[in-house]
Amino acid sequence: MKIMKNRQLKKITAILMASAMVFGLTACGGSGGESTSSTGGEGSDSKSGDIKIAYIVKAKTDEFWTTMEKGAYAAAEEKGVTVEFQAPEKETDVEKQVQMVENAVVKGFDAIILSAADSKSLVPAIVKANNANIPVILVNDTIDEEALEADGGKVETYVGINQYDAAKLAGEYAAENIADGKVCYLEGISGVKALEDRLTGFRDQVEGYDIVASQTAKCDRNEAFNVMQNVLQKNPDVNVVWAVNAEMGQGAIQAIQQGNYEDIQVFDFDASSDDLQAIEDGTLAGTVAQYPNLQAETAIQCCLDVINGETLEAHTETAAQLITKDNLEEYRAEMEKLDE
Amino acid sequence: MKKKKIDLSNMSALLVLIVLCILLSIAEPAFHSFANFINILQQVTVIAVLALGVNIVIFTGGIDISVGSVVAFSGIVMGKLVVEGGMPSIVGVAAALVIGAACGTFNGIMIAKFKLQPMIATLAMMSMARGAALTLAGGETITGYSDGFRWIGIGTVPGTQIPVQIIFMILLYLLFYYIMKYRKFGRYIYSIGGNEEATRLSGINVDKFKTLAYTLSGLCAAIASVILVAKLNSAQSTAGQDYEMDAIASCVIGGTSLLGGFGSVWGTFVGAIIMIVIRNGLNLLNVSANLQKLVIGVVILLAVLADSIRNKAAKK
Repeated sequence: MKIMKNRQLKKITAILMASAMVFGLTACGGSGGESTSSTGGEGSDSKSGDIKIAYIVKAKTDEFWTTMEKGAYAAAEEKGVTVEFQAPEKETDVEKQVQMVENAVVKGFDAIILSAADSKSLVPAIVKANNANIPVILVNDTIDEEALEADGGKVETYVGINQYDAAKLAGEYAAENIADGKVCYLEGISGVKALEDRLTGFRDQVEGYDIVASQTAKCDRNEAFNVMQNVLQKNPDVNVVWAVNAEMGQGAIQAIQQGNYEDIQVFDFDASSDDLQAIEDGTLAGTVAQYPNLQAETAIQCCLDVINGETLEAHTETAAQLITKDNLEEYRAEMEKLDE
Repeated sequence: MKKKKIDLSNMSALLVLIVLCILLSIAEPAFHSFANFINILQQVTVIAVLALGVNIVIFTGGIDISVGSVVAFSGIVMGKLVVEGGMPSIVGVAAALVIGAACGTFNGIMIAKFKLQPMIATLAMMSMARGAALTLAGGETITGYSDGFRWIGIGTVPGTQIPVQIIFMILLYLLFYYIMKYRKFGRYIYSIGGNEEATRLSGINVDKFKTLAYTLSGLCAAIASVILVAKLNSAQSTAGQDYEMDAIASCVIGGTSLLGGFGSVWGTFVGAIIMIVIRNGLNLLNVSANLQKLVIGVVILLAVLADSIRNKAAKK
């Protein structure tokens, strides 16, 4: 009897731990290997002295971040600065990111570029950087400005695209080219502002369309496959799909292909290499590219500007573009340059 | 007496499923069509195959939370070999199965021989396998498989709309049902879960069978991975996150006791279908995903409560 109880207790602990882990893992991104490396030292002798920038992002697990990393190193070499590009294992590992910022402050970097994993939790770390007179530049992700101000902290600028305007590009294209749309929206994770902006940015351009479904597929490819299959089951006449990230766009395409549906125009966000292939194959109508490499380059330039004593606008906007079959090759050529 | 109870546990999950289906059919006419029935079976495949392996581990009184990560790891290895290494698909599939079984066996040895807590040993594997997948692939998605390979995931039985993956799943379930019901292996597994010490004292090599249970769990994860990669045309290091929880939930909803020694293969199948039917039905009704989570949570809770009440009754 006693043994039984003991075992039961162990099981309960096990389940509790398991569920804690589920919460820990639930996120759009994933887990990633942490690695740090620097560049810029070799080749070009530094013009800008020995400026060292800590570039801290949320993860390195998807193409968005790896392209940003490549862009950061390319820009660092060009501008003759040293960049240390780092990220926690997964996008949800906020505490690890806080530690990275704190370590960067202690190590005495000249500037910190940060893509905050959480809009509030990073505030104290930013304040620490402020107190050490290290300028902080945000890239891709914003933080809670009120909370930052309340703690007396500040950031120099936020570098990134305007999510709403970027999604608008795809919406406008759809509105121009497809009349009588019956649209299915694949939403992201509720509460994530960037993803919500992408949804409304598209939706506001196609107000004449019938919305047959608006469902989340949690930014996951397999989930999107299932959701798309279910939506098509009820609404086989869907002719437009807007997925707010590339993974969901890809899942939708697979479901559409398997079901042999024709004339469904899929649009998504991120311009992953799968997306580019799909545009070539004709299964994807368009994808919004947000040029993470350009964001990286702009952020590094902002660091240099701040170090030179300039004051920056609160939002330094970078360009986004809709990639369709018409400009696919140009975009590819541009991205290939990064790999050289 | 015991037999009657097993029947009852199977019945309750099945009953829940039937009630769910009736309700959804009334609420949404698109629900009860043959095509939707096929969709549900296709959507359940990955989780059902994972749950099949995890179920055996739970029968022994253990737990395996590493399966989601093993899905990613074996998938990445296969993708690397086939897409980047240019090897034939069959080699990639074989490698994935070997990796899956090896991860499982490693878990089993740690638990059976080195007496680690199953939760902790598989937690370590969860991290190691995910880490290995990430190290191999980084953030990249490995895409571009042959049509022959993709047939596993999206092909249909000639002349019908039935995806072949459903056939694989059903064959696998039949095989496991046979093993668990009619082979010594099955009886030993239940017996280990029921009373490990007594099983050991009766001269059965408990360590060997426990290890085998974890091997099967890893193997099932690899099979699920092969189907998933073929279905989505992509291997990703982030694949399979949280799948272990769906798999464990399927077992529990299906009437498998987390204390071990009790549960059935078909109950788990029904449990997995219940989870997918809820998602499918709520999708058709265009209900928000947040509510889907809530509903699934309630179903899990009810299932565990039923388990606990049954255990109390069994002790009396």
